[in-house]
Amino acid sequence: MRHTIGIVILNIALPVLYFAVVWAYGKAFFSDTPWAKQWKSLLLTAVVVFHLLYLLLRTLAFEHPPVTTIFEILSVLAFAIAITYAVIERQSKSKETGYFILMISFFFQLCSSLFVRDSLDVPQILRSYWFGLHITCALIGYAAITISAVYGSLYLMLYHEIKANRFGVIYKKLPNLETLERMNFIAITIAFSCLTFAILAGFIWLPRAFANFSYADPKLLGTAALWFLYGIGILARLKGGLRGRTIMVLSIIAFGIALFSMTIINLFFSGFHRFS
Amino acid sequence: MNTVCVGISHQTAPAELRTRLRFSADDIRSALPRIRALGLSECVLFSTDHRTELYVTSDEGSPPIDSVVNFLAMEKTGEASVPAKSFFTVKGTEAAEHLLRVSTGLESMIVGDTEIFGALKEGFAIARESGTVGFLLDRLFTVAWRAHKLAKDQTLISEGAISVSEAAVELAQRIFDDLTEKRALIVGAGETAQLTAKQLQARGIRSLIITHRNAERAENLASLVGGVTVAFETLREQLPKIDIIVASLQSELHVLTSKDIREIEKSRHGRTLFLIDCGVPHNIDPFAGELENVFLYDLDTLNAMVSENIAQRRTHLPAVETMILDEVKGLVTWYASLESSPTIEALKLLMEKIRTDEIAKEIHRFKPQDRKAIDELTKRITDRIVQIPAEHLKTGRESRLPNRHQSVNLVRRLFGLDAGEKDTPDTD
Repeated sequence: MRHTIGIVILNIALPVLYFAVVWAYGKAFFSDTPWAKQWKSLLLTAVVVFHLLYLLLRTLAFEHPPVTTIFEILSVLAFAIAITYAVIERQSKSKETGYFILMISFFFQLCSSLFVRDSLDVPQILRSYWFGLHITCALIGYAAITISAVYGSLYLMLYHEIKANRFGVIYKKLPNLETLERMNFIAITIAFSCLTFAILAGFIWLPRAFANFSYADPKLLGTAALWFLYGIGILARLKGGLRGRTIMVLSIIAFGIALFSMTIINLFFSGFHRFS
Repeated sequence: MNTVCVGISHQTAPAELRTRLRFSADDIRSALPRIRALGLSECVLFSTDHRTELYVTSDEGSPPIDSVVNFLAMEKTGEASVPAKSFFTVKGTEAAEHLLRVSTGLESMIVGDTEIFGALKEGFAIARESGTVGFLLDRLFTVAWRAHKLAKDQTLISEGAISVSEAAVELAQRIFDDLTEKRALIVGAGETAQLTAKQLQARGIRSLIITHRNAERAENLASLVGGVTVAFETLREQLPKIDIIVASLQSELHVLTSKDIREIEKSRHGRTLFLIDCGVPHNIDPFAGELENVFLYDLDTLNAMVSENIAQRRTHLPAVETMILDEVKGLVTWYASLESSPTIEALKLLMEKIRTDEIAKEIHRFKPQDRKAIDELTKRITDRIVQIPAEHLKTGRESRLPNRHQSVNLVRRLFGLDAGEKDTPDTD
């Protein structure tokens, strides 16, 4: 099948392409290499396009969104992180931090490419496009939460370097504090927006798909709580003037809560919202 | 290379003399034709507060250095009694190397400072307009632009702030994204405050507010940097709107106390405040530096930053010196190629290569018995073509030096005998 050949080729090519992108961003950040600075964003755009093509081919070939196994989800997460970063880079006009973010994409895609298995036989429920939309939005949301935590960490690193009068590589190479704060906020906004869509898609689809649907499902409650937390954070930033170091610390704590809740909920709580 | 550099610098003359011998753009324009009339063929002059240098070439043997020194001294000081040791002279390849060291900032008071580069370009442009630049100095200065660009692009010799005011503004740019949206308050009119205000203004700060116990001093600084003044008594009222405060007052007590800073922090709703304390003793309560969204720097910290930057620059010296030596070698090779014999040989080789390449492509069309005749015929054609410029170059041996060099240079350029070497490298 044409689709299958394309899938195989892209499955091999994607980790290589991500490695090339990370390398280009690294050369630009650490060595100020002119060609790397000039071409890195274009390379990222190309990789994102190829990755989208890969995900579409998988969807068409196996007749379900590629979110039915952990290794498929890792690939979607890698894509989500890359595209979220690309949007942040464009919005903030700051291109220095790609190395730190895209390394995560590379790692996730590498794991996916090495271990993914093509799953033709999946529960019917996983073939629903509402399901695909719900999961994709959720994954982009969590990817954006991860990126906001990375920017929060970079902010704190630079903040402490400046406060401590240390003027090394971190001081010289990272974007300034206000830019890092803005990039963190853009990531949080994307996270909140995508979680909103994920929750809405879930609310529309879940009652139709599951007879034993319950709004008290632990995963639903966890996601709603996270959505609420980030919503409060956005309001606090816009209206309450919560800025600077405090909000960076809060964004890292919120990421920790997201990670913790998803892990604990998946490990210890079962409900209708479990597909594996 | 028949080039000489005569000049004074911070290494050879005191500031007072350097200031007296400073040439403005109009002075340079006026002086160049008269300098050339001293028996020189080409001349370029540039001048700043720290350095005045004149580069000359001469048709007739060595340039008349004493005449040139006397001219420079008389032109600006009206007397020829300027101490001889105040002037330095470098000749030949050393003059070329010196120019490249100047253009890359290695001869500046602080290594890597290329503020001189603007004066170099201006002096060269004026010389060009005045018609005192020939192809020798044109080549020399083109190589100087290339050395400057290489040093800037490939090393960090010019990176990092080298003054307290630059360091302060550099720090501000590590904290704030866009200074054109920020407001700065200058308290006092000390030298560091003035320089910092100028740096902020150069970066397009949204507004500069100046205040001083002496209203006149505040007005003077405001007019210098395009700022506005406010009464010193209203200082605290200004604080909530301000993003950057530079304090430089003579005061035994803190001008901004911990109470002031806490109140500012509350009113700013978490927005970052950047404080520079140039006072000795401190104008700002050091407690301010402990607040979360406040960054406070004093002179000691900024000086340490500058010292570290200068030390970092020095680590790039060997790389830049290697670049300069390579460029000088290239210049010497080029100069040597201006002799006619190597050029005639190169032209003959080029013609022979073209002849043999073309014959090799088409010889198969001819019968074997005709091929020798074809070879001899084409050899005679190319020999006659080469003979014409070769005769001109050979007979030019008797003519004045620059014309012969110009002829050789023209032939080399027209026939691409120096292909692979840039004649006009990219410059700033």
